[in-house]
Amino acid sequence: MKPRILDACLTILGMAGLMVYVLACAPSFSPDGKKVAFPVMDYDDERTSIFVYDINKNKFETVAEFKNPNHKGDSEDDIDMAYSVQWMPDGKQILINGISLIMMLPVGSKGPTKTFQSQQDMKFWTILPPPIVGNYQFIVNPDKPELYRINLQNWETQSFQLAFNHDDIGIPFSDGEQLYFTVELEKEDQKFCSIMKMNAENGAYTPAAQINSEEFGELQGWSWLKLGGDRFATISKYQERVHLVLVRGNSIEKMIPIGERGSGIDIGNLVPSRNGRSIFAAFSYYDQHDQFGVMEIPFDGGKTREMVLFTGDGPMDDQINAIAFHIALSPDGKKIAASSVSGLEYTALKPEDRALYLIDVSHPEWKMNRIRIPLPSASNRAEVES
Amino acid sequence: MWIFSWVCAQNVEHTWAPAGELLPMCQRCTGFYAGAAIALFLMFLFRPQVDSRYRWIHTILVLAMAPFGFHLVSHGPIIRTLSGVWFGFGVVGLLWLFPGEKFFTGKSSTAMAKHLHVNLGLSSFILLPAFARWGGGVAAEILPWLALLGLVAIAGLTLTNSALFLSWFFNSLIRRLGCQTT
Repeated sequence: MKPRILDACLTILGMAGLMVYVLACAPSFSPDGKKVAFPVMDYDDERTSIFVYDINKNKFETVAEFKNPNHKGDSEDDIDMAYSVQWMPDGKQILINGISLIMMLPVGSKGPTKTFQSQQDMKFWTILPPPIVGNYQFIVNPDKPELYRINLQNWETQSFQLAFNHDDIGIPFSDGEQLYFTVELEKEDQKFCSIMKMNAENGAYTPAAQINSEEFGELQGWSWLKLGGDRFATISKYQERVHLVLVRGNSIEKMIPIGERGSGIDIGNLVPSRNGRSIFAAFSYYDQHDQFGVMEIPFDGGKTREMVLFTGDGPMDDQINAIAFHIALSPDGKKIAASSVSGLEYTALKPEDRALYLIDVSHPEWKMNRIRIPLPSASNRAEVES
Repeated sequence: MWIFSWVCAQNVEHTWAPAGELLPMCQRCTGFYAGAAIALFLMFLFRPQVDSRYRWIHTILVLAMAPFGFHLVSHGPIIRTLSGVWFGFGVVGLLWLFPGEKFFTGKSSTAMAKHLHVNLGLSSFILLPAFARWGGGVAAEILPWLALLGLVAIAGLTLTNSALFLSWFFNSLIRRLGCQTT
């Protein structure tokens, strides 16, 4: 081939490669940015459905359904209904965690559905999506001081024993690359919260940070976040007020008060904002007509912004509802999703509030779309209200 | 740095946060755009002679992205950035072919300059991911601007190539039409 024609072909290869790269990396081609997956609990029918909402097509799809054979109607068995869902990084599969199963479900692709049924004595605590590091998922056993490592490629399970009292071990979390778990320790009549960094391959753990509990009060909920550098964030109650606690190294960098002193506020999960300057949190006020919503807490001490998504009609049954109310942030950081029927067993929910909420947080006024969720098994065009 | 939201999915879990500051582009795009800026700078500096080895190396660098970009191989943040760097070098190398020949013809580079070009290029393969990982506040300040330069460089090369192709196409068309009329 003549050098000039060869160079023309190579230039076209370069431009084609560039085009494929940019398009593959652009937000519109990010499948998890276009769809929202969430569980829908139906406590009356003892059934959980996994829904996927396509934002562009404005359509719901039921991708999986589970009947709970052990449900007896008491609160402990209600936990059996808890399922969490998370997209795998390839955007073609959803990982579903239940108390006794893990399922890898293809979405929009033809791959096989892979299910892992746990051993009898394995109880998975799955209200918060268990963290994934590499090919592994890590799940704490609430009955024993051990952490299960499940290989998501071949379902091989390994148990890592932890040298702590199982009641003191917190839920593991990760930044996608490194696994952490928290543990409450007592030394010389002083209580500490230690953040342990765990090697995903061999289960060896070392302290990454240790803070005196007296400095931040009592931990609230279970959500911990790894921020950039050596920073972590969580929620605590200190002097009758809920605070966002920012930890850097072995000390508290900042405590940011949330809500009024003595107000009944509970925090569900925490999500870091795209610009790294604030945290979004799911919240519920249990003393103000049971309001559920989303808030943004800036790190610089600026005003916390709140948006109430739905309000209940009566008393909240259980604090577990507040912890089970979660939000998710889209990969581009512009949209927040929350569902009123994922995890909540909230009898006072008004029928019109049975919805998926999409909040555009890139808009100065935070525009919210309420999309009514059809009854499980339905696959309908959604009803969108602005 | 809003411009990166147009070309990068900005997945928070795949984004470097030197000194706690999230970069405006993902780890792979950090490598790609910053690598492209360095690659173009080295091209201007050394004006490499285009021979078959040059063509082979840059083609392989572009094609080697496929298994990583399409997630056929599982990899962590360092490899993600590294794959972006080599892809950036490959793309710049291929997009340089015509503009280099058209605008930067001159003396062929010396053996010393060739060695320096290759060594500096290879060093940046290692130094860029390391800088993103351990560069702290300095990396948080520099990398977004370097990536922006790379984005401008890639856009400039793409436009130049498009213009050269169009002018070549129209010149051939005019020549052919001219032949027919005579």
